[in-house]
Amino acid sequence: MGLFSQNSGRITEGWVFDAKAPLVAGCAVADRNGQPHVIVGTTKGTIICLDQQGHEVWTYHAEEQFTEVESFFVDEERVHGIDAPPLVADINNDGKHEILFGTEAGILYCVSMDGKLIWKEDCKGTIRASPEVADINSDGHPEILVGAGNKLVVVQYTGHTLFEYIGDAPVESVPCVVKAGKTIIVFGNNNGQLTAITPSQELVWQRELRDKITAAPVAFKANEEQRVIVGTLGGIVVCVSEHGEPVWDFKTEGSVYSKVAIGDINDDKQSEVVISSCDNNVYALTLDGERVWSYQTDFWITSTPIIADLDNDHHLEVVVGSYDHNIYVLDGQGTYVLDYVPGLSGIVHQAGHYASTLTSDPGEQTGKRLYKYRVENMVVGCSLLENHGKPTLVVSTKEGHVHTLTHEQQ
Amino acid sequence: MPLVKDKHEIHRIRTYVNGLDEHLQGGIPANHITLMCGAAGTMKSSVTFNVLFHEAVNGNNGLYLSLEQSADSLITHMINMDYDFSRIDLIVVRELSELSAKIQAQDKTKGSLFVVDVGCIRKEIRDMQTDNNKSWLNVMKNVIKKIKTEANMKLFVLDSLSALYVLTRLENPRIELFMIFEFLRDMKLTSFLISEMPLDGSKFSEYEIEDFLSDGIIVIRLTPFRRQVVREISIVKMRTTACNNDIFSLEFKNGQFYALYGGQNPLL
Repeated sequence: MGLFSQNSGRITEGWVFDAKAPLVAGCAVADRNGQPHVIVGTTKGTIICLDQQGHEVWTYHAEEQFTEVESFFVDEERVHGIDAPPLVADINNDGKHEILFGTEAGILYCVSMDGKLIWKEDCKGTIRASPEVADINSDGHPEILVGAGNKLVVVQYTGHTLFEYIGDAPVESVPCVVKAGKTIIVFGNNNGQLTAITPSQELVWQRELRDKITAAPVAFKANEEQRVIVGTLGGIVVCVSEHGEPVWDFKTEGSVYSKVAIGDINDDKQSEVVISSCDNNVYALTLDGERVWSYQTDFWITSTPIIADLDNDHHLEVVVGSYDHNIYVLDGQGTYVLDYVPGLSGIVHQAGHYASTLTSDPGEQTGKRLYKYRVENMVVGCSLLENHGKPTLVVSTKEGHVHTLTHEQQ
Repeated sequence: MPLVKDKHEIHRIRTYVNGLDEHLQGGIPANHITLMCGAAGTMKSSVTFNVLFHEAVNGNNGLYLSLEQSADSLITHMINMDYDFSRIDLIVVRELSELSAKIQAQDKTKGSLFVVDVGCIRKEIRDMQTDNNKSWLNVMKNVIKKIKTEANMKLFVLDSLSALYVLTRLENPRIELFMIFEFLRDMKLTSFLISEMPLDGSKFSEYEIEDFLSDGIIVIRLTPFRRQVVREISIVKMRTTACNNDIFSLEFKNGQFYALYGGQNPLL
């Protein structure tokens, strides 16, 4: 384990749990009997509930029986696998959380916080993204939206399919429900189409982003209208209006697999957009798509960044987990780095024409690392758990370990 | 493949094309994956079926997976070429549900040649949900695994790669084809993948990645000369083999394939 600190305090590790199977990106935090619990999924088709001490409370196995003929059509090593983090929500208004997740076999499961199956629905298509929950038809009950094969499937809270919207390509991005003038459901597909439909299944707009979309679109309000931001595996992050018109785009040099995070990370009273990319960088942008700062890790970042005040200094930090085995806690403000070292090389000694020296910035805003913590394997997911008011990072690794990290004042 | 101490220890599978094996140090190294390339009418299917037939006669089990041509059409064609199927245990599978029973009923006194008619199976299960574009790839893998583990299969022919691409959309061909080839290597099968070449012969395979992933490439061409058309066969590449890359005429006479006139033009 490596530990590096540039700030007061340090990152310390709490419990570690070995799931003995590769974990899906990220985990969910759910309430069980008034206590927060961590829910993780594995690619071997298990959902595991862990208590605050990292002890296994229960494990649910998603296993389907196939006929002899059906069994030829499935990849037996993957068919029961869970590819995306479970979603936790109270879908039946009973005051308790339920756990929702889908499998490669195309089954959407609803499991209680006691690890008991409430219902399951065959969506008839591989589920590779987490479901989303929203009351899209204002009937007082939330619906569950999930991509399954080439379809967006909407399931009632009772577990019955309400409708299917069939598209041109597999839907592997989490749908986003935008409540603007009218409610629209925005989702991406593997052909790079970003599609918006109404709850009555009418196509509102569709934009061709060219590259596969696995990231969930994220909605935010700007200039009195809703906008949507989504990244693609081609590395472009696109912002469109609620009408589907392009507002801005930002190019990274690697695939963007996960949804962006939005929050006022630098106390300027304006929200920023934080992006993780497989070009190894985490980027902070203004809501207008202008770069504020970026920070380079040593390998891909595939999980969604977390914005939180981890060290309780009343300023937000950005936390990302990288395939380089490290968790990075970055100062939301970033820092300004000069291109030269004052006192050692004067500005007049810089290479290039003097006019460029006079017209270009003497440096740039860049990300500032506060803490770095090394775990034993590639970090595939990072989530935040409020443990008795203390923010705790729950880190999932590709090897199947769940780590908890907290900040301790020295 | 385990390391060998002497080149004579390398086990080779004959192509059963007289005159060609002599230029391949005796045949294709066992467990190699070979692309059999050619345009329509070049006898790619017949040449590869011929290998499976003769290996079955020698007691080695094989699988011919036909994605488009029906088993009936293929077998009738081979009977017309004077193949005597009483010498082998020919097992035709038209329904996935009958595969287990057919393996159980195998005649262990002879080598078995399984012909799995995927076209027929597609009609059988046309109502089944197959929107996951990897489904047919899974069918291919699961059929191979089952026959390999339960019937000790040694050889495999896929007819054809082009048909597989129609059934299975490859989102990232470089990665997915690598995984398909690795699967066949892990199965320890001597495999022939039939690749339909364009008429102009501009490439051996659809994505051209297959050329690098395969261990060998055999090409059959139709060559017009004045008013005659001859079939020509050549070994473009064969790993672990000192081979003659000359172009041979391919002829079928008296129930045998022959590679003739290597490096020479027979019509002059």
